[in-house]
Amino acid sequence: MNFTDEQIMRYARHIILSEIGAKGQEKLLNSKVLIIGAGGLGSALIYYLAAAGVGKIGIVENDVVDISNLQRQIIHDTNHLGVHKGESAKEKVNSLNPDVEVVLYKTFIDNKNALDIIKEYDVIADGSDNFQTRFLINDACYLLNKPLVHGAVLRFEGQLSVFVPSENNPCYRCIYEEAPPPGFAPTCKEAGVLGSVVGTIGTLQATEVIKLLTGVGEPLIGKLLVYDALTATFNKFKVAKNPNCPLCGKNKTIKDLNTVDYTYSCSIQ
Amino acid sequence: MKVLVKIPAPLRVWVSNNKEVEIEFEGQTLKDALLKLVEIYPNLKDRLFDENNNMKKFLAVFINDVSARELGGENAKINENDVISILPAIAGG
Repeated sequence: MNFTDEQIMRYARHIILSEIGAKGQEKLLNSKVLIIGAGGLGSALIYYLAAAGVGKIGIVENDVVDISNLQRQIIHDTNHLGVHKGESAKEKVNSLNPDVEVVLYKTFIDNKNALDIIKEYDVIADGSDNFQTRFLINDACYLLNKPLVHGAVLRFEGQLSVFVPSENNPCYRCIYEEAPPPGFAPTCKEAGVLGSVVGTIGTLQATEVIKLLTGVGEPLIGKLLVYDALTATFNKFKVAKNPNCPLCGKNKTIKDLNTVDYTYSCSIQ
Repeated sequence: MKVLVKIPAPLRVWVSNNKEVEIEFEGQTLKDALLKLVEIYPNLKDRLFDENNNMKKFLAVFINDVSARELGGENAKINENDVISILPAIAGG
């Protein structure tokens, strides 16, 4: 690949990193990443991946910008109130980096469209805000053999992990077998979330995406990183594959997305 | 046997807002330790166990930073001064 003079200047701080170099930057420019949600996690993910020169960024989003989003969803601004979040994010990306193509999916992801959307991408990053979508994306990524960068936040806490389908690697279901019933796990709307914590986790997700795309470092596979902002503590937990996991265990019962009831516990129908 | 149980923020309201709780219990397994925890803090029981005293499936439990599942699940053997961490699933984005 021949970089333009502008690209050499734009990505100079990447290219000078021996681990990334021109080859790594070329990989980024030729990569396709899907971001589920242009909310708080999505804001950091989209903006940093666009700045890094990821060539194609797909965004799945079906909501408009609300003023209550702006405390943490930094890719949107006050001028975009009422605008579709995908369009708002695309406008920001276009003004940040012309090397990046943004593809918008103005829809909620569901078990009918998930496989078709996800199959086009190299890496998927989950910035969704509910368990049903998280289980669905996990299942779809496993079935399509796609790496998934997981991030989730609530109040002053965040969680991060990377799921790469293989014989030995765990998936999201290996950590959490089922979604909590309503009332057991409050949403950010109900319990609140510190805006900067969402940025912290979204930025860590962006870094894991870049590591996967360039092959640099050790992705957070088989580990769950937990951030507690109140005590400024990171804890890294070791997670193993569940041999009885219905998705990736020995006796798989989830073989397509139609066998799972994603409206409630995300378990088999 | 004495162990330290780290309580995640969403569950602290049921354990007098403690971040961690030291408990002494009879027995040797993770389940023994957690049943003792909910005996001390009865309001926590519904959050950790179902009606058949099985641990909820949306909780991840770690013993000294290793997934309890890898160590035997509810029957994982606990040693003196182990640290048990409970991590509920969160979904905010």
